Amino acid sequence: MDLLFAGLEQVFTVETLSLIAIGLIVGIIIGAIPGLNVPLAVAIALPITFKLSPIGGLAMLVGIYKGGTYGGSLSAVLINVPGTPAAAATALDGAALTRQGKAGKALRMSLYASIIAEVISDLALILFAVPVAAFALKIGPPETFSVGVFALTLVGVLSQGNMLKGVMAGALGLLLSTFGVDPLTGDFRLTLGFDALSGGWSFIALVIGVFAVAEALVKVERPLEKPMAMGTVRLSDPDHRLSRDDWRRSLPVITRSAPIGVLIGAIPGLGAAVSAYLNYGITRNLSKTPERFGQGAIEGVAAAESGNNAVTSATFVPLLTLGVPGDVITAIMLGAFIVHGLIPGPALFEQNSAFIAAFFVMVVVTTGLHLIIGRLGMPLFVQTTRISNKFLFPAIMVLSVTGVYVTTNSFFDVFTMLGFGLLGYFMIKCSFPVAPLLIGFILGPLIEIGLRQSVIMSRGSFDIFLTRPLSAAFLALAAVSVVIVGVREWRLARRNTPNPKTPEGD
Amino acid sequence: MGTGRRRPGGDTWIALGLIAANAVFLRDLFDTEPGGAYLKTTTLPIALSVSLTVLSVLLLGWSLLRPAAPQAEAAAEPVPGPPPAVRVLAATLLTAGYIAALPWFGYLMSSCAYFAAMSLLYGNRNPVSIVAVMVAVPLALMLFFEQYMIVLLPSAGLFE
Amino acid sequence: MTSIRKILKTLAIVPVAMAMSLAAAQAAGYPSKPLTLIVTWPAGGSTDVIARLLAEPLGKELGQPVAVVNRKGGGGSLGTKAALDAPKDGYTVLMTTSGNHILTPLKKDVGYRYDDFVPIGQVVAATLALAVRADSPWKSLDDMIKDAKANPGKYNFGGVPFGMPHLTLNALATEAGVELVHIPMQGGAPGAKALLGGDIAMLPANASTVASNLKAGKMRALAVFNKERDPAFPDVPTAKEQGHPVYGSPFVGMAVAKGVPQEAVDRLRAALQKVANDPDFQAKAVKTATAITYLPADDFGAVWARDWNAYEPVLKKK
Repeated sequence: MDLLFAGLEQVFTVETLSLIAIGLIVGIIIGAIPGLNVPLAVAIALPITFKLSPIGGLAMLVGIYKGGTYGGSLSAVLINVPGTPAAAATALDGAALTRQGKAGKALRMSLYASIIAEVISDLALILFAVPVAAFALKIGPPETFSVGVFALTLVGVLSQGNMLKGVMAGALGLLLSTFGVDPLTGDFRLTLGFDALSGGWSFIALVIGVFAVAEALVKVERPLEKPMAMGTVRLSDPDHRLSRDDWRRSLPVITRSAPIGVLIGAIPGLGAAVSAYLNYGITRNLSKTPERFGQGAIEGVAAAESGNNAVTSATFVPLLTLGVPGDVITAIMLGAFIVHGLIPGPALFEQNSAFIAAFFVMVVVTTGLHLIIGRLGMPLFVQTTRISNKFLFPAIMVLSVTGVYVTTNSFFDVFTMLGFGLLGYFMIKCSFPVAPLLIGFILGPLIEIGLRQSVIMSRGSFDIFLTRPLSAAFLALAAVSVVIVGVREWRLARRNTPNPKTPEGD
Repeated sequence: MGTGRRRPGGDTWIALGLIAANAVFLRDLFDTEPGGAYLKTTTLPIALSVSLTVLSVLLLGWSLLRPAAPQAEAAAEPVPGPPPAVRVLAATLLTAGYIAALPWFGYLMSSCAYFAAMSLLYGNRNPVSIVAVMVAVPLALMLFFEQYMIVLLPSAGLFE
Repeated sequence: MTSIRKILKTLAIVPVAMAMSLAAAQAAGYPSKPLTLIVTWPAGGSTDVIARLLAEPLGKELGQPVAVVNRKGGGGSLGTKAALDAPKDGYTVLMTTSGNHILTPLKKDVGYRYDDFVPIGQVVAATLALAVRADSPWKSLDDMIKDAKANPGKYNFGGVPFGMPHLTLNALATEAGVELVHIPMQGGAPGAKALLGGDIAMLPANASTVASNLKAGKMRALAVFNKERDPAFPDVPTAKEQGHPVYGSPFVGMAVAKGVPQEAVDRLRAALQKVANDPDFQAKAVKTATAITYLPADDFGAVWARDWNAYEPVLKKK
């Protein structure tokens, strides 16, 4: 208990609190700007934290991390361009709400769902770190493969009505992820003679190209479109507030998505984007009114946002308990720990429990400040719907090029971004769902590595996927998912077409 | 999803494009000597590429055989100036030019010029606002990255 | 079109201003503008942390900021090539490691050799350890070897394919006459997780990756592959002590491309020497379980040659 008080003391100093606030604000801004992403911000802020106290430095980084994950949803909702990959699922319903003039609803739900999920995630870290870590340890190669396959079945959910095209997009995403280097042998693969491809397609170039650049290209067709809102947007209007009905739909979704997000966060390699899509997909699958999704279903926003923010604190579980970072961002933060002489892992819990206590307090305080700052900033954010395209999109393009260049230091990758922008543009015009492309690309390496490592472990037999219980469970879930999606698609087909052809694509 | 005045069968072109691309990929894959234990380096990519080709053929077939659905295009108001396809092409070429210009003309100049051109393309006819933002945004970004974050942006190779 | 003219007029001022400032900069002598330190591995990794730790004091010493740039890909070859292709004016420095400098070019043709570069100095020579879970029955290398001899092909180990840890354990396996199965992994961290989770029986890894688990007693180190025991882990015998003279030590250091003016090279060497030998800096680094093992340029160059010759027969076979 005194540890807790000592921790409180350390955190509630002006220095630490202002560092958290700065981190949050910087994070939100960077997350909101398409083209800049959170790992970049954390990597750049890292050296700055070397000079600060351990808790102070980490506080700033955690602030950037949480703020950044939330910030992406701002641009996703307001301009249909996710600021970070994790917010891509939020854009599906969030932007629709903005188009209906209900941006405030989407923003509020996005913030509140994020905060609730973060609280749950913080609690999981503080109270359940050890069992969650034990769970994470059980996820070996076969389970990684099975979880990946399960997540992949979401391709079906997200392409409801456009199944063939959705599956094609997913296959393309998977295929693209294999370019560059074989992750298991280190051999070059599909570099098509380009040196620069030997690292594979740049993920950030793909995300920004397919979302930001493609959207910019779509918008350039009609330059004189009016901005979405004229005159001051008043956040207190009923259209911008959450009704009881909204909460009734969303609260159960949040309470289901957050724990799932926590588990996903604890498994190294999956990440916030996967969690957001997975929860969105599950929510849609289980909903009695799936056709509302994509048209402004508030629970879609709730699912996606609670999914992605639940991941934030959970990724610290493997880092603190096992000394193994859960994703790119915690890997960077590992550096921050190390520089202050703190080596994350079981030793830290025993030898430096004062620091751990302070860390936990800091994480919770960050969530609290996040709520305050997010809510205060909202009236300001929502005014961006008044900016007309002629300023907005040139700026977005400049930012995108800048952001990709700063992250990758490669002109090839920036051109790649443009290429993916064109791909995304054509996909949008021809009704190919874009989400499966992204998911396929993210999950590809996971699935391949899991598959091939497992086969080596079992010396060539495929039994291992079924003999290990967790793996079998995930595969079963995947099968269930396919059945649900298949049945729904069948019903849609029967309902939509008088002639016995495949469902309406447009 | 309004599709404008495209030639019918956008799906057809995409399917054909994918089939062509996969042909290139498959050739490259079969040329590679695969490493790896049990499941080779090229196993998964080949499986994926073949699947994608099969799906593309399906799409091709479906797009050619389905009854031509008359699209209601009248809903779109006529756009003044060049047609949408040309605008998209222009935006793409401008962006490519911008990226290519960066190592030669440096960040500040290229971004200014690009921003101005894009603003015009997006319909901005107010010279004051164009100049103001075209200097402000790249300048702000440059200050942020080079001074505060110490991350280097392209400098003008032509002048060094 | 007056608006276009206005725009062009504004733009015309910029190149003039830039040309003037550039002229001023050149006159000052090396270094007169910020330097780029290329790290060929992702941000946050061990090399990246060392580079960022170095960047600030190095920048102070040189009088110009040092910007760390991550250029990953191709097993480190993309970043290395970028350092080679950059103008040879001394403003692009490479943070080089065994992986990108020796192992990758030996494995495949990436367009450069280790001697296309001029050494500035070594910063770290990491300790490789062989770790097992705390509940493993093996207490020494010989325990493991005896078990593995009796069960060829039974025991798994993890490691980045053809990275130093993998190659070193392979060398040990060959020397001891045992057959182990390699499970390719993406790095030390996934390896540590796999070891704890029971999917592999042993893990050759950078000591810093497993340090925390070692200290907490969740893992045990059977051996280190240095010439002498690592002071940070005094209870762990070397492989040589246990009768198996197998060595492996991944290095991290700085280099520049051949052809950089000698003035720049000397300045960089002097600066690195000063920073690496600064007790404050060393204290900071030691806390990270990565002690600074500085070697001046010539010795570092000798390490390159030694490693290249040692691993060439192993890797060129591919």
